Amino acid sequence: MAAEYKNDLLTRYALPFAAWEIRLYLNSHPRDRSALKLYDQLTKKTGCIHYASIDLNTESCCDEPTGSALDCMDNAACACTGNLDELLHHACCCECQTGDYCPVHWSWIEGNWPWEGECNPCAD
Amino acid sequence: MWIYQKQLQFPVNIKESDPRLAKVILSQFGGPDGELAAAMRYLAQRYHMPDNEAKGMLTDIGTEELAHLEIVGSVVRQLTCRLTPAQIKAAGIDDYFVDHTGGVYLQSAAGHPFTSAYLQVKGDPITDLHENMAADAAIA
Repeated sequence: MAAEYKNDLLTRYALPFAAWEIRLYLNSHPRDRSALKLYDQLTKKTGCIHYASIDLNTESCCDEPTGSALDCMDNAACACTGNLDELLHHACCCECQTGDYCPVHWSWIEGNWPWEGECNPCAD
Repeated sequence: MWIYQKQLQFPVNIKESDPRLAKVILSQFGGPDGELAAAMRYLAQRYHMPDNEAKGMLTDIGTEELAHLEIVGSVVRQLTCRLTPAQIKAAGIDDYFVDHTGGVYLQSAAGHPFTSAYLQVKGDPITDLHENMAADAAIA
């Protein structure tokens, strides 16, 4: 199989599919660090349409965010626990003195959905 | 709302026509447990789901099922192109052909048109998810 064809299959079909599956996983695991990182890598590689954001709250553990949200988390150990390993290996939630901050997380499912209108009249 | 990406989620390049097979595969297009039925289940059930995870999941998977619908439609189209009248008759699809010619219609293999009667939206998350599993043949 020609190298370009194989590469084509990879970038046009396989990687976007993988990215899509990570999206589905992130819907129920929005703070899974390795999934967030993988999603970021996959969508950069393929340039596929991805219309959900990785939300960055810059008022938290990262003092000077530079580059992408995930780069920020890579370079700055959590200001609260000082434990970079913790950030890398599970939910990147940093409990600072002022409360809970999750600087980088999947925000696609948050907030009102379109059928709920602006004020979500059916909410309990 | 929806954005359309002009690419199949999985490529379809079929070299040989097979009209008899196409008729069977048509159930995956417009049949009771096919891709449209799945997409409609999820996209309709999501409105009454209680939490954001379920709303997000059903929205995204419903969207993916529409992508699958496109793949199956492409398969059927490619299996039925350039057929001679003799081939159509030999494959036993002349009764389909008379109403749709080479078009890809939303029906089951047996010829029943697609209908909401194939699916259920009960507003209860457990019930709806069981409905989805039944269609997906995911119940052991």
